[in-house]
Amino acid sequence: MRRRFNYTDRQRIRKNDLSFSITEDTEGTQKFYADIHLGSYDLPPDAKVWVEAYDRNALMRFPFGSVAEPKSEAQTTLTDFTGTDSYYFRVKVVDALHRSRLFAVADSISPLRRHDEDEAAKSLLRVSTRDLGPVPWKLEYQIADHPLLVINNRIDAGKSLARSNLLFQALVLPAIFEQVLRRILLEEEYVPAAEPDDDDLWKEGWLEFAGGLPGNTPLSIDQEDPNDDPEQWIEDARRGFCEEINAIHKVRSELKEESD
Amino acid sequence: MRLRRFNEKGIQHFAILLESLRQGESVETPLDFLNTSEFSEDVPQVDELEVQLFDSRLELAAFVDKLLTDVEIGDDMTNIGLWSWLGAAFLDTTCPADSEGIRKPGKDYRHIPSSNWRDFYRHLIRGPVRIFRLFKDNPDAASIVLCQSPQSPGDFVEQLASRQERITNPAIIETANTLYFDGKTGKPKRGASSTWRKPGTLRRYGDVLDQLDLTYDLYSMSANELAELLPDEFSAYLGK
Repeated sequence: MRRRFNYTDRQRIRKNDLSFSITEDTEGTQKFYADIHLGSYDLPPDAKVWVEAYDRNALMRFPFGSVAEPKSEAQTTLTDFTGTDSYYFRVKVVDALHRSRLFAVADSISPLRRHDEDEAAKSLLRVSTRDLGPVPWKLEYQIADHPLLVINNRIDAGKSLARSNLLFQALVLPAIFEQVLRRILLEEEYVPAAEPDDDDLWKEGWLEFAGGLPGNTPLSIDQEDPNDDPEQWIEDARRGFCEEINAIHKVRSELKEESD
Repeated sequence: MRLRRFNEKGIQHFAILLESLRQGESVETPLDFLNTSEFSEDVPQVDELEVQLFDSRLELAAFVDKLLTDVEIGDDMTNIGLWSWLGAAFLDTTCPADSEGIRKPGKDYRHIPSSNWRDFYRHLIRGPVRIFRLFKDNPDAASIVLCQSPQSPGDFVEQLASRQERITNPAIIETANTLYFDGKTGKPKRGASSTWRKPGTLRRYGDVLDQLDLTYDLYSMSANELAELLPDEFSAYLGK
């Protein structure tokens, strides 16, 4: 498990104190709204607050007032993120007087989307569309290693595939599910923590979900059990996932529908 | 010639052409398939496009940016057909033939924008145009990433443009310009991009920026403020 050290006295803003939501107009222009609560931190009231929206290809910065009154000072239109919703937010509290020192930071914040808040809040897997040439889909680990399912935009159904296409759900999602668990447990050798870093919260979400599936058990916290076999745990989770989504039934009913 | 954008068939055809160049075949420009409706479609635009040769990324970027000023295609940076067509139209600049007529195009993403974020900035026309737009008010401040020849962006572009938090931060680019751009020769200073992380060189600049980024909001800084934070190893490059 990766450990992080903070030698700079910079405070970490808890994600519970932040809320970002997105609206999109009919032309696809996206705008964000942010609720930022800094009252429980030991921060100078006049320190400046900045919000950054970013992905691998773009970065936009927005002035957001001061610690005493964090609110947008400019338009919050995300002009540099046309055609994508796989971006994240970062909040910085900056010393306005002394060399722009960082007082506090929160990073890798996922926004909720106004039209789909409940689903987005529960979602473990972000979905995006892009031209992938001949490849129908791929899994990427973008900002802070969150998994992102990219579906080829040459496929008409695009983003709704994972949500509404039974064949995709039954045949592809189990493979994605396994890939992500292998990444977390075998590649990163992550061990569940009682108080995980913000950047590791998504891993905790996946492991918690996988541990609660039929036939599987939660992983122990903060310790590596030498008797545990992560490969077997992942296999159990994959079987449990297929059972949970009723994968065989979905495939059979879809194939039956096609033959009818 | 009218400005156009490739359709999917045009992009595929261009990719095949690039592969044939890699195999040592020679082609004449302007390419005959640039203007056929089978491979591309017209882009509404005021002026005719006069394809020229350019010696630097700055000249090329300024020309293309001006060309696209009046074009109504929404977010042009994500338009793969447009940038691929420009890649083909300016092939003599981005992939000139040697004395024997041989061209070395390199990877496809240099000419056809890649959908992979890792190669996003490596397109030989879109890359410099994007930087030019970020520094449009003072492009000289970004000479360190725009002075190179269009076909050979080099290590400074790779190290600085590959990371959003660097290329979009005027203070970081302006300071890199002060450190490493030689105004007399119009080129980066010799030895400044050493891969051995010698004191004060480009890779050490990246290391120090990563450290400073933990303590400071580098976007809130001016180039002078950033330069003051650099350790002594950079003094020689700063001319102190």
